[in-house]
Amino acid sequence: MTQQDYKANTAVRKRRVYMRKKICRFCADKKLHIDYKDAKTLRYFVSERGKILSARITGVCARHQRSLTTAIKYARHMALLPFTSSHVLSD
Amino acid sequence: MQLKHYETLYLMHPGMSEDDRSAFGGKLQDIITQSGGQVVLCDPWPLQRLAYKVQRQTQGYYVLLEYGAPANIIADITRELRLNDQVLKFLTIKHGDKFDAEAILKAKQSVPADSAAQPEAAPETISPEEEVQS
Repeated sequence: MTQQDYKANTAVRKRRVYMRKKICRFCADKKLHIDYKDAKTLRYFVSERGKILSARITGVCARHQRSLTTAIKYARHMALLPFTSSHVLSD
Repeated sequence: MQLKHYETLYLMHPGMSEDDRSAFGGKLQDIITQSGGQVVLCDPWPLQRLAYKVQRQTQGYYVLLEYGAPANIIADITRELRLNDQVLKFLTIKHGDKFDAEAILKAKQSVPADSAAQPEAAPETISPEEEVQS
């Protein structure tokens, strides 16, 4: 192993150590319910383009991510959320 | 017949008068009650901006209906919503196979008022005066 490889390896290991564990906000607060009508909350889980953000980014657990995706899709169907930013109405 | 717990959200044309809207809501509620069902909640939202254009409309009135009804009635409600061309969008969701009106009302009361006031607080709501331009 060269000196450089060794340095790169330690950097990776260090980064991992400092990685903060994200908590699923729906697991942390049981009072929060995923509702397709609550577009304000759902907006937090879509990108600026309107794409659904991955659980890796938002830290939502797998179970809640599943209900979140269906909720976002319901909201899109009801015109509460945009399918894509190009359809967003400008004033 | 056993009642199931359903929820229907539908979007109405912004040009519709308030009387027409409430008349249509009453018609839907009649379908439910005549079949032995029960309406727990009828919540008309204020005029709201849409996320994208629907039938060239940029805003509309949402109405949320929560009810218990026998399963075969859903087809009638869906047909009613489809036949009315003032209805731009609709969505019916089943919450559960069991319907207990008291339990649902109790659960709604225990939730603080902030969630109930949420549609009014949303920034996208527009007062009816602003709609004239369209």
